Amino acid sequence: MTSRLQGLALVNGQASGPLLVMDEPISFWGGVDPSSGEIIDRLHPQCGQSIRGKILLLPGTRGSTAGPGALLETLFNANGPSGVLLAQDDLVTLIGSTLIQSLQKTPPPVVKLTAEPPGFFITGTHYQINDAWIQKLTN
Amino acid sequence: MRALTLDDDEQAMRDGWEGKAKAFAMDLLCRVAYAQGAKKLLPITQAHLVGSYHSGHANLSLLRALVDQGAQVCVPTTLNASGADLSHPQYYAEEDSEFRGNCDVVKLHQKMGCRIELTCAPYHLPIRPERGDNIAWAESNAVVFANSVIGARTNMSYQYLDLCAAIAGRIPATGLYLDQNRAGETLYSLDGLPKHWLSNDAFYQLLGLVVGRDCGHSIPVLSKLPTSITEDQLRGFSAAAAAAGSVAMFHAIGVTPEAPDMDTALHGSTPKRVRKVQPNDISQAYALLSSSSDAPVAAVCLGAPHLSREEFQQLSKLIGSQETHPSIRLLISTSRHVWRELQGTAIPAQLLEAGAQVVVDTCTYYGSLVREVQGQVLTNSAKWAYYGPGNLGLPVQFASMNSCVEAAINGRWQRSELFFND
Repeated sequence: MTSRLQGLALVNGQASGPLLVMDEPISFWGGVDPSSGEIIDRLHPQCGQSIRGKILLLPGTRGSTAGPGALLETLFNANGPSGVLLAQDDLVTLIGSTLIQSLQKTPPPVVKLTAEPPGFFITGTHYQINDAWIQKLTN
Repeated sequence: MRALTLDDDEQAMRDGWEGKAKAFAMDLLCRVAYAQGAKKLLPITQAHLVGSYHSGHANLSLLRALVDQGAQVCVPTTLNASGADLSHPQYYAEEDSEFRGNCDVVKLHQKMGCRIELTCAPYHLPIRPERGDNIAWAESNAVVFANSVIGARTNMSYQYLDLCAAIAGRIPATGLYLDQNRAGETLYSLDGLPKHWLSNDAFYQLLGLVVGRDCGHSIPVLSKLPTSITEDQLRGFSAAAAAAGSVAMFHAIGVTPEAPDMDTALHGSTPKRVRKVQPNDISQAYALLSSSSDAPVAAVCLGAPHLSREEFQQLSKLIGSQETHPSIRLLISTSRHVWRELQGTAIPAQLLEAGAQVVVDTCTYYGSLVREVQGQVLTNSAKWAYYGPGNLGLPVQFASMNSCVEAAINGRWQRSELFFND
């Protein structure tokens, strides 16, 4: 099975970390605690887990249009994801991740997935992002 | 395939010939355009920004950096409701850090040329857009209202994207800016509902909740709404539909400007799905906005989105010369603009004498003004009832404005089987 996948790089960069597959869209405004990175939306399947340092596989965001500001605070506090893989178009992630660069912080790379091979993405497994390329790091 | 073409002016802005702030704004707009596959940018005539509340150090730093780079908005730009009532500092403790943070955020926007009208109802302001205008609005109820009721064009914008659009005067040409994406898709028939419901304000909010939860990302079409439907009823529908779902536009046949008839609303096509709204759908929506708490009503909150002039007149008639019950706080939210307009009338004195507290610039469901309430909150707003329990940790009950006023005066609220009691 292939261990590399190419997507569309929306924010360039390199990152690695354990994967957290989000089963539902999240609201960064009110759904994630910017002071810890913990998911606090009580109705979200991944509630209680932390996005800090993770590669997030995200099926989009929902809720407030003020999401970019909340993500910006989370990234500024170093409690954000190390990289984001977007299964759906998502401007909140793109805007928050792009603008953190103007606060002299390294942004998480953001890749839009153009394919999702069955079994490729497993929560807890380590992955590496290099611009548009995603590499599975096990074995 | 993802080729974005810029005209000479846009290229010059992007290359920094018009300063760092415009280059910064163009960079974000181009990244968003690339991600969305937009082929060009469109000029906008106005913007309405959601970033008018204090969210922390990063936001303040970003705004300060933009101000230091000389950022200025180049189209008329208004701000959404802030996190505090900046017109009434007396409502807050002197050292309230939230209040000060919100002041700082708003001042930074003012330095960039934004108009300090802090409202979630920008369509009440004198610069209301016109049909066909391309605008960049980011408050959800206002986006639905602008697209549907005014016939202006905007996608649901986001914090910072809206600011960058205002600085560059451009927005990527995608989604609802394009004719072909404004066709009605899901048809909702109201034939199965009692006729007298269709004249009730509360009903339209519950209908918004039903449609918002049902229609996904599609554009809903409502058939057979009475032509006597009021603007407040249409914005009640807009606010509830946006809060409960992803609605950014709807059509109402014979009512909204792009829907003179079914064929026009559907752009000559057939609906992708037809759904008959049943009385039970409305009852279920009412149940969703009802609390199970037996706690006494301690506060009544009116005005989300901000109360209109017409709603103030309605409220004034209901209150008459009565006073609110000592055990109940009556909070009324509106914009400083509408409140200013009312100053020539008898309404402000009447409300003060009745014991009501008028709040401007903010919304009571995310400010600190209601946090200390011990008991239930009654509200005439489906949006308030939808967000309030999560934001404030309080039981919240949706009711008609009549019921809300009755409760504020009698000091108690009687649960009713019906969603309205008038």
